[in-house]
Amino acid sequence: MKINWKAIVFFLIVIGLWQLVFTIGWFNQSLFPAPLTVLKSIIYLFVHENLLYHIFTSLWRISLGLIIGASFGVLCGILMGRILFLDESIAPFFNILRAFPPVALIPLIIVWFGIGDIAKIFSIAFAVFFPVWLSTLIGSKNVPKDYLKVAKVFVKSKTKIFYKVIFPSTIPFIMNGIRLGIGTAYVMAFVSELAGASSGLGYVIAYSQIIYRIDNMLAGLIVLGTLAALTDFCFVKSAKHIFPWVKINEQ
Amino acid sequence: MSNKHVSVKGLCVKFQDYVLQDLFLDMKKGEFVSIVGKSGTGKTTLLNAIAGLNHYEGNINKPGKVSMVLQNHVLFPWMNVSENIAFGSNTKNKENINAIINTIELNGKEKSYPHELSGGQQQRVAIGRALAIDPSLLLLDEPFASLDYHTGQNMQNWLNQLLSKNKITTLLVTHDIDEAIALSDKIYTLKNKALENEFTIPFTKPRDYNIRYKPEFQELKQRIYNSY
Repeated sequence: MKINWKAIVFFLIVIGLWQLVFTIGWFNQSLFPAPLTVLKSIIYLFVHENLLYHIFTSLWRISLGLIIGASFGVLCGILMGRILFLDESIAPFFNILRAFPPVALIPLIIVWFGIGDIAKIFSIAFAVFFPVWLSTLIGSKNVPKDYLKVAKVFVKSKTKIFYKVIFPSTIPFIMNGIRLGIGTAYVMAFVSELAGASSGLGYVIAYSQIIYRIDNMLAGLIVLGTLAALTDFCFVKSAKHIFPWVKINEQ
Repeated sequence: MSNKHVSVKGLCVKFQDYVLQDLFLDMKKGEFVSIVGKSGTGKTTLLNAIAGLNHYEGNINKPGKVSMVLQNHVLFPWMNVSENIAFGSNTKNKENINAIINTIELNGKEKSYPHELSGGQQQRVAIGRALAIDPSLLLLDEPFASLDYHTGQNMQNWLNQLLSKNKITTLLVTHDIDEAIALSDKIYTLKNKALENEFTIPFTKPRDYNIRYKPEFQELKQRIYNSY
């Protein structure tokens, strides 16, 4: 595997600047802990606060929310992209829903679904749905005309044209939508675990705030960000393996 | 009994205005006919109508299996060479696909994806896909126009030899008169929304690349060029 030295150097610069700001003492050191303190907090959280359990809880909610949201997004995107009637009747409604900030819906979701896992998974699925739906819709509406021309010359069955040509042609757009959805899923998992949760990374960060452990808050955020980046990395690598013909930007 | 394999009578195709109007064309079985004309004269529209891709008025009698090769090969990037070739054929007979791969001289590239092939190889796969359905009529829409000069010439020679063996009725549209003369039995010029002039090609097949240096070739080329 090719090592991205530029990214590593940039990370080191950021950590160096962080340490410099800490050493100069521009901020209150209890509000702005040093990188090494945060690293120690990460280890502490793993050893004493069962961070692994919170990570798996968040990952489980994210995975389920992502699968549900992305599945509906792909289904609606494909159907609305290929059936004009559905697009014309449903797209305006979805566009209104899309404009709702998913974070602002959390109080309502808690009222409707309570504070259990269902509410959190629903929040994540709701937020993931829109980028996947929109990207899939654009892809399925824009199947290159030449592909359809060749398909019509060689194949008479509309079903075969759909699963051999239209759906595969939409896959790069679905991939992009899911990548956007992965980032959104982490944001929503974090936000939905901030209130009314007793587990998950959002809970760890919210609890650390209550007990005024800024180092633990930063540790939780760094773990969350790293997990999101790792998920994206694994998704891109798997997508490239399964669909070697899709051009995916790894950055 | 009529020996017409393809018969187009009074063909009209209209978008905003008429693109083709009252066009007639007859082709014998195994004949290679080319249509030449300037850009925008309706050459591709004629092929699309024969392939059943455009609405048209008039009559088109054609054999059952019609196959087509487009200018930009239009291979599906998610399918490898074998899968692209097998796209139109109902059979999953590997021997048949392997025979086509052998014909298009791409042995060893069966599992390659289109982006891993050169332009000439991609176009050969497109031709392979067209041949795999065992067509009674092959439609070629400027198949070599997107290739560089050398690859285009090599592909012309290759197609010339291939079609001399297979005797498939073929209709080529092109703006390249050299290509049309090198490949065809007959050439028509498309002008004023219909076919205007007919030129029978006197050279025996299969034709060598050097044929274009003959004075007769150049004289014929000039006559065709002056006719549109």
